[in-house]
Amino acid sequence: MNNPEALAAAVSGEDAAIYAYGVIGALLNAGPRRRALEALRAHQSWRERIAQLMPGDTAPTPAIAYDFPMQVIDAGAAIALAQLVENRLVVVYADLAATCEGERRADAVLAASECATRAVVWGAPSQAFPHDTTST
Amino acid sequence: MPLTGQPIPPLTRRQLLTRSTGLAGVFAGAGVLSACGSGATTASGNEASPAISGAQVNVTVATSERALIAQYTSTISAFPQLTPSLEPLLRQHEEHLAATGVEVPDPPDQPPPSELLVAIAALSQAELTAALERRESCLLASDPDFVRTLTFIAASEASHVAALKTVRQSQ
Repeated sequence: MNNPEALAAAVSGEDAAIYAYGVIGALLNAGPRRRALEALRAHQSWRERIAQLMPGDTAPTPAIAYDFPMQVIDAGAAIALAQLVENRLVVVYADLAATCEGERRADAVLAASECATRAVVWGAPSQAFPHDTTST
Repeated sequence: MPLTGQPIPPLTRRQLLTRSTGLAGVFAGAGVLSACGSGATTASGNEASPAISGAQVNVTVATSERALIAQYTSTISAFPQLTPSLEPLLRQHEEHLAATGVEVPDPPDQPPPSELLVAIAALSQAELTAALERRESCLLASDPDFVRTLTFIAASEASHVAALKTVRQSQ
């Protein structure tokens, strides 16, 4: 059991996160900027790891740019975007976990846990079932 | 690059826990952010029943959640000043327990450490252990919806460790 759609969604989600953190990092300073860069590197690492699970060159390619669901023009909006991206990725990885087994599933759970943790570190409230609450 | 995305349809908690990979469509296009110019959503409507399978895994998770609830309850009782910080986490464990659909007995009373910071550290350790146990439970579960639920719970409990670090730093 291994859902190519869920793998592709995770790769695309990571591409979106990498793009978002480029913007987020540019709007932050000092400690928060360092935290954004750490998150960026973590997402790049997961992107490569998940893409390697896809056969051949079937992994989706990143978009040139992504829409943000809010204007991101200052540090506050950048942090809100970081929370949103991380919480949305939790759901993407929960979907992936549900469609694979063994080590891949363990990786998906770990990735979801890292994303939920980063969302809280960025100031989002913890949730029983972490997801982007701006869309509920 | 447009800065404003398309409206995102509301997502109920039940949908969150039961939707299959069609959920990516709820989040439009890339699943996290929509690519500029993509404009497409692919919601499949592939919604399964909120099934919970794997009776033994259920009992294991429920027993662990009950123990966490007891630990939070006793800690809040001993340190009522922590109520605003800890009660939301306690409620989330109650939601985790409810998601298992299993009733398990309360564990024996165990008083928390007498020092506040040590008590918070004990909670943090319990959350870390729980997150790791939930990850193991994920590997034992077979029903995809239950795996998804356990993934959310593992992620929630991992995030509780970060939340408790903030609580500790504020004391």
